[in-house]
Amino acid sequence: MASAGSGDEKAAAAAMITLISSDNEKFEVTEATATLSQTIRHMIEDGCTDGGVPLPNVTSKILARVIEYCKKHATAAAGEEGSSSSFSDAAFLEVDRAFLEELEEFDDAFLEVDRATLFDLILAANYLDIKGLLNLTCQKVADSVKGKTPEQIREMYNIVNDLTPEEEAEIRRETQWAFE
Amino acid sequence: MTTAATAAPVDLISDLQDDLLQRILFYLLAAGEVARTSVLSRRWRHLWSNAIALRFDVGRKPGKYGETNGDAARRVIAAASAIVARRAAANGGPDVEDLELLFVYTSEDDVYLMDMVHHHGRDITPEQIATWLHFAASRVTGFFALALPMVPQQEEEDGDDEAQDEEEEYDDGEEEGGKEEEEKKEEEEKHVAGEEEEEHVDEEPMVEHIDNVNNVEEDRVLVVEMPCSARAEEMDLTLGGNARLKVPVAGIAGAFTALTDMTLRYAQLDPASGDDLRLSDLLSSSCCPQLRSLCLNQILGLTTLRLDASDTLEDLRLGSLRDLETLGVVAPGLLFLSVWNCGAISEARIAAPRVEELHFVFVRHPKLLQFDGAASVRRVVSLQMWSHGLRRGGEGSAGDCNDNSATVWLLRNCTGVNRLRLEVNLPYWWSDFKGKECLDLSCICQSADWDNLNLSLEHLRNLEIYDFVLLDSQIHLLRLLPASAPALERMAVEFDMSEFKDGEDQVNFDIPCAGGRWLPSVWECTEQAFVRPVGYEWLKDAEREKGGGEA
Repeated sequence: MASAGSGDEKAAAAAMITLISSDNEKFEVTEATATLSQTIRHMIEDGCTDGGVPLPNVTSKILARVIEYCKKHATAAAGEEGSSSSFSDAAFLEVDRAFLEELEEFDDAFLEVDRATLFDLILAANYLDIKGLLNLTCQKVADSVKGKTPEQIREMYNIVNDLTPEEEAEIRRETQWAFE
Repeated sequence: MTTAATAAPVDLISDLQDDLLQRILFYLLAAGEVARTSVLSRRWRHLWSNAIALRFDVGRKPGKYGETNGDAARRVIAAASAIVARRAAANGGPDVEDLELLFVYTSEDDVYLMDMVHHHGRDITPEQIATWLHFAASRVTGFFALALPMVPQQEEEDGDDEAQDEEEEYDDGEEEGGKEEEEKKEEEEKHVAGEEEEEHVDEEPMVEHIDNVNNVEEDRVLVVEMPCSARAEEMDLTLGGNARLKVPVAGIAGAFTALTDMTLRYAQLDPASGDDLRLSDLLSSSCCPQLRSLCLNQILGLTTLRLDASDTLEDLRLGSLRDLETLGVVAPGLLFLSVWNCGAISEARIAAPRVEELHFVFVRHPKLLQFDGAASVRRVVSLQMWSHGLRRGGEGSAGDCNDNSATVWLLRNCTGVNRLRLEVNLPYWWSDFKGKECLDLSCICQSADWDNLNLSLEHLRNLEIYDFVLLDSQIHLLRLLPASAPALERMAVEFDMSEFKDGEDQVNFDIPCAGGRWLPSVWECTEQAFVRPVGYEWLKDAEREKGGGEA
């Protein structure tokens, strides 16, 4: 995986950014990693990252996970750029495929977290504007709901049904096609 | 904003803000799944009405014992129609990222079953289509897919007779081609209606009629006006085969400024209306500046296509454009080009200086083709080569059909090709000779053409030959090709097993080829439980050693 290696070196030469969690923990990351977050990218562009970037909405526990995600995917992005001519050679395609598979495995393992952490990751991804992570985590929640009855979903997510029986009957009538 | 993780059962999900819940619902895919969440609680009740994805799909073809009258599909169409109409009527409201209205059954491999009779096709009205298209053009920001079944001309009992339907559809196309020439001046509506009346006559004797008021319903032609959207990024329109596509004038109706992927299938254009030229304009760079991938497939009445594509276009696939006569493509950034089953082309000018991969099955003679870009081609995947055929001037018209000259022209000019896949064809009359060698002196296999191919495939490393039959002529070809390819590392041959006798379990495949060895690589188990090789692979000795070669 030569492309991945060169991506790392390239990134290492770049500037470092300090991220500060809500509980005041400091994280040193490369700019390539940090700019997966559009929020941070804009801060860097505006030149207001000296002395660290405070992230009052993200705990150190969640920030550590988010950075783990960003590191992996920043390398992936660098790898992709490096092999922009991937279309032209079967050997490159092989490398790409292997790399994508590895990335997918990473994502799967990354999502093996308890539900509270998953929702915290959604909130952090939304706040930091990391599209990939937001889609990944929302997809994970959607997958857990897929094919379930409303009763099962309520139970699974502790949703209290505050609709009156009449209201519920009315909604079921309106969306009858969806229940057939 | 930080959510405290606690042990008590807390409803974390309902605390998420609306746009996050909508993002989660986006990934639920089917609209029905999303709609069902509206009964969860008050919090969830109104999310559905602002959903950012509306995906309706009639799904797989009903099984043998499943519902065959299409009632389930009718309910899907009715729901989709009501919901799109409601969203369209609401002033404002959120845009839709993904609108999918898929009303054609799919096979188990998720391929549209276009030839199947879809009884629910009659439910779809022109007014509904107009609403959907208008909504798509104005409110869809990401992906819009519409798949319409062919409108059944009358109630038929058997919805599963696909082979028969397929034939009918085929006739349909050819018949139209002929008619167009005769009746070019006739008005669009009349023309189409007349055609369908004829079909009625054709079909009538085959179908037992049940007394049904619906039978007297007038034949309907669906008209689909191409939805121009400045915001949609991807579009996939499958128009039933008998829907008429109307194309607006480029520039007046707006442009596809954000469109990157466009697929248009199973449509009909009125060739007399100039829609083909307008379609060409609409898909060219001035209207589609971001287009990356374009697929036009099974479009009748498209006689001329002149694409002046944007630099962004990388992938162009043209298939079964049976009326296409004039093809002009200027695509400076094109990497992948596929043209197949476009047998009516009488002039093709293609300027694609960067094209790397070619799937080319359409021209018979190089005179019909002007192709700038051969030098950049690295892979040619699927090229037809006839091992037999009557030479021109020979009997009948078959001589022209089995001409290899366009293939040879490409092989001579694609000098940088490193991977080549050839399909060796036998002409239709070959079955008369089954198992025998051809002795016809007017056949191309008898001529010296083979030996005079004069190919120089200097960069060819990987050669694959499909549908190979162990005939002297084809074996001869298999000897000639490596001789002109000094860099060859691998060859693969797969047999056309239909040409083998059933009990035959051994294929005598012994073609000496210097510098390497043939070994069986693909195996097949016959009905009599013979295991026999159906494919062989040749690797250069050096390559085989590199791969840890086995005996």
